[in-house]
Amino acid sequence: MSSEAFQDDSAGGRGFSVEVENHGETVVLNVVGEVDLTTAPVLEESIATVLARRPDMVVVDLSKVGFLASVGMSVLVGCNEQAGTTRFRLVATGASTFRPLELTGLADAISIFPTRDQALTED
Amino acid sequence: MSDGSGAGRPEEIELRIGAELTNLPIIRSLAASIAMRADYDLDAIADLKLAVDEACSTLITRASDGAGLVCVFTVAKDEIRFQVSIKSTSDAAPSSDSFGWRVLTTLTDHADSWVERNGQDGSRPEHLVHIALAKRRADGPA
Repeated sequence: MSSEAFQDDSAGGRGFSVEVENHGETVVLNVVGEVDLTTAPVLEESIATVLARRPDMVVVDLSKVGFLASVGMSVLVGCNEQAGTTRFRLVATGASTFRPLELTGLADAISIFPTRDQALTED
Repeated sequence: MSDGSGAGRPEEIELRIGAELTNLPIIRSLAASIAMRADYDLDAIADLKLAVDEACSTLITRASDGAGLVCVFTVAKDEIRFQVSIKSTSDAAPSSDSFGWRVLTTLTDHADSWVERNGQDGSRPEHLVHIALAKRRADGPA
């Protein structure tokens, strides 16, 4: 497994990072921190970079995300639409990430799993 | 539990802060602390945090140079009201068609935006843009 990282070193983005783990044809993005108007561009860039390599599956793990603003949700919807033949999945659970995706109806449009294991193994 | 206002009157908490995106985490923390102290459940705390962030993000992006956000939380018995205001050279009200506004209205019990236009004489070219929202306490366990 190889990995690389995207980081926002500006004042507002301190503590926000996206670690990219390559598991063969599946790529996992481990997102840590809060996704808001300052950090959403880093999330978008990291997912777009990975999608451009056309892996079989991309899993964006939001387990360590404590806040997801509407701009972050828009980024995820946009990436889901651009994924093409790549299977695009999210790991999200709880009030900070799954709840807003569910309340806004976006959970119906994107494949969301409560754990990374389930996202990686379920059909 | 004390509601922090002694006589049961609504309590106001005001925050004046630079209209910078890097200040959003501070405003979110304050929103969460206030909802926590008012005994809101985790879902309602997250909803208020997200709605407050959305309102402030919207106004920060239309702020005049050097303008400050004025945020006022009003903690009443069964709801928390939030109003945020900014000086702006634009007199257009925030769009109610955007996804962000849909999120804001979905997560709150009330949301509204309006503009106080200044006079036409040109001496005060800045307008005041406001967003107000309210989040009620959930009735018992969901």
